[in-house]
Amino acid sequence: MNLSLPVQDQLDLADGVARYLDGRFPLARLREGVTDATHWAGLAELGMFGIALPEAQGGLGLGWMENALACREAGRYLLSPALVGSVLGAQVAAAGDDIALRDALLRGERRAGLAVPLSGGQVQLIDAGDGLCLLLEGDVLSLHEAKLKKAKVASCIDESLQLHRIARTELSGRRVRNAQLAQGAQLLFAAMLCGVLEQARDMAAAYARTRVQFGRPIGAFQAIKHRCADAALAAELCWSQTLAAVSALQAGAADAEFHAVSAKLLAGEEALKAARANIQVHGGMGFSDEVDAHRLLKRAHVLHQLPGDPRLARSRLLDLEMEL
Amino acid sequence: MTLEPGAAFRAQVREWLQANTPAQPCPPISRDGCGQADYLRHWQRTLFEAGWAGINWPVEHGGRGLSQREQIIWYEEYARAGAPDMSGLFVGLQHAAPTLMLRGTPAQQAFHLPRILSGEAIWCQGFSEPNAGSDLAGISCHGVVDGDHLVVNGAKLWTSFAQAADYQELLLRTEPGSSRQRGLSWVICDMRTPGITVSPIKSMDGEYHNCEVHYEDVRIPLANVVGELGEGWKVSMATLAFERGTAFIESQMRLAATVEKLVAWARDTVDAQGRALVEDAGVAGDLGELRARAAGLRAMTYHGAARCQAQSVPGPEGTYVALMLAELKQQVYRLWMSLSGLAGLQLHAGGDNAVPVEQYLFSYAGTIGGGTSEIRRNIIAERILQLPKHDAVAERVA
Repeated sequence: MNLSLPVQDQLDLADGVARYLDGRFPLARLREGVTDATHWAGLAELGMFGIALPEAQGGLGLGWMENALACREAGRYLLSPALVGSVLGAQVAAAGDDIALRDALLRGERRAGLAVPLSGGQVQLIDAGDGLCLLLEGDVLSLHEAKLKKAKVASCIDESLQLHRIARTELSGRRVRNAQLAQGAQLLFAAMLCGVLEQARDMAAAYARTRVQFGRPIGAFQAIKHRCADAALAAELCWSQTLAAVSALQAGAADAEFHAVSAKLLAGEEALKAARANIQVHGGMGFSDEVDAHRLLKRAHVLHQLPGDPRLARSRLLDLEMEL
Repeated sequence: MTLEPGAAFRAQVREWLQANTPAQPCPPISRDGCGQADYLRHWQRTLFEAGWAGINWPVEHGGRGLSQREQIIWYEEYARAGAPDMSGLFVGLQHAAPTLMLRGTPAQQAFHLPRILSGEAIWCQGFSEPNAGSDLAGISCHGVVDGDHLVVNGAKLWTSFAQAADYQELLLRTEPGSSRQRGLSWVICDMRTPGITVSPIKSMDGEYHNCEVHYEDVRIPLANVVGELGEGWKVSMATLAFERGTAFIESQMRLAATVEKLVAWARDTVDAQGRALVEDAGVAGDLGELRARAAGLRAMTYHGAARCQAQSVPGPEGTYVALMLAELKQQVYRLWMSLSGLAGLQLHAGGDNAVPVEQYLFSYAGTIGGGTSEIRRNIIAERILQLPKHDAVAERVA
C-alpha cells in the first residue's frame, strides 16, 4: 500500500475551493431553498468540472488528488452530487468526442445528475433536473439525455435534491468503458462523504464545547465526548483510505478498485454514523429543521447509495484483489 | 517503468524471511515465562545478527539508520511471512528504547540500547498500580532519596512479562507529599535487585501475561533516573505517545493478515448444508467490510507516519490507530467466533483450519491494556477536538 499526502499547491487549491463555497454556497442557502443550480455556472469559473481533464480539452490538467480534495470541500458544503455527475460526464463526453456537451458541462451550462438502475427496467435519477444523467455499471460509464416528461417525480429525503424515476428505455446516450473512471467515481463520492463526515464532526464538537447543562459544557461529559471522538476517528479513517485510493488510482495499481470501493463504503457508513451522532449531541435542536444536522444525515443517505448499492459493494470487496 | 521505492529492500527482506522464519510458533507465556523468553531472545538475536533489528534506529545507537519507509516494508513482509509475534519484546523495543534515545544519558544509552536491540535484555513496564489504572496520575509506589540511591517501596500491577524481564521502566513518586502528575520520576529498575517480588497472574486466556510486582526497600542508583528527578510524567507521556503512534505498525500488519486468514477459512469451511460460509450474502458482506476496515486502518497508519515524519515525537493522532486497532481486532475475532459455531468452543484445536479461540480471548486485553478505549476516546476528544476536560474530581464529590 502506498499513500501520498497532498502537496502545498494541492492544499492551496482546496483552500480556494473552500473559500469560494463558503461565500457562494453557505449551508444557510439550503434553509432558504436556494438550489445549487442557481449558482452552478460559478463553479465553472473555479474549473471544478474539469480538474482532471487535460488542458487541451478545456480542463485544468490536474489529477485525482486535486479532484478528491475539491469534492471533499464540496461535501462539507453539501454541494449537489451532480458535481460528480458533471465531472465524470465531461470525461465521458470528451472520450466520445462530443465537444459541445463537454464544453457545456465544463462551463456549467449543463449539469449531469446521477442514474442508478432499479429492478423492472426502471432507473432512479438523482438531481437530474437538467435531463442529463450519468450511469455507472461495472466499468462502463454512460451519459444520457433522459426524457423527463415521461418520468415519475418523487420527493427526496434530501429536499434540496430532485428524484425522478424513468424507464431505462427512455435513456439514450454514449457509453465509455473505462475502469479508471469507474474507480474515480467511487473515489469522488468517497471524498464527498468525507466532507459530510467532517462537517458532522465539527458541528457536534462545536456544539459540545459551548452548550452548557448541569453547569458545564456538555462536551465535558464522557457520553458526549466519546460520540465526538468516534466521529473524529472515523474522519481520519475515511480520509486516509481515500488518500490510499488516490495513490492506487494514480499509480494504476492492481488493487486500485479495492481501495476505491473500500474508501466509498467506509465513508458512506461512517458519515451516516457521524451524522446520527451529531443529531443526538444537539439534543432537541438536532431534531429541529432549523439546525442543519438533519441535512447532513439526509445527504449521507443519498451519497451512500451512489454510484451504486452499498450492499453489493460489501460483498464485492471480498473478491476484489488486494495486495497485503 | 520504475520500481516502487524500496523494491530492492523489500525483495531482500522477503527472501530472508522465507528462508529464516522459524517453523515453531512463539510459545505461550507460562507462569515462569521461560519458554517464551528463551524463544524471543533467540529470535531477536537472529534478527540482530542478520541486520534486521533497528532498521530505522539511528546508526549511533546501533541501528541501520534507514527511513520509516524501510521499517514499514519490514513489518509488511514480516506479517506476510507469518513470522513470530514479538509482543514480549514490545516494551523494550518500542517503549524503553525510544524513550532512552530521547531522554536517556549517553551512559544509559550505551549500556541499554545494544542489549535491547540484540535481544539480550527483556523489559517490562511498571506504570499501573492497584489504585492507579486508567487514572495513572494516582501512582503511590514511591522512592526516597538516600545518598546516591532511591529506596523504593510499594506495588505495581498488570506488569506484562515481569516474570521474565531483566529491566523495568518504573514510574515512581519521588517527591514526598506530591500529588497527581507532579513529583514522579521515570527510573530504570534492574529486576534482579533484592527486595523485588514478582507474582504472575493468570489471564482469561490461560496464559500468564501480567504480574503483580512488590518492592520492599529496593535500592536503585540515582544514575538510573531517566530525565530529571520529578519530571517522570513528561518522560512517560513521550513513551506513551510512541506506544500509541508508530509502534503498532507490526501489530496492525498482523491484523490485516488475520483478516485474510479469516476470509480463507470462511471459503474452506462449510455449513450444515455443505455450503461454504462465504456463499451466504450476509457473511460475504461482513467479511468484505472487514477487509475494507483493515485497509482503512493501514491507510490511517501510513497517513500518520507520513505526517509525523518531520516530528521526533508523535502527536495525539497516534491514539486513533491504537483505538481502532484494538477494537477492530476484537471485531475480527468476534466474527470468527460467531461463524465457527461449536468449533469455537474447542481450545488448542491445532491444524491449519482451527479457529483461533486463544487469540479471540486475548483480544479482550487490547481495549484495556496501555490505556482503555474509554481513556483513548477522552484523549481524542480533549487533545484533538478541544472539548473541555472531563472533570472527574467534581463528579466524585457530587
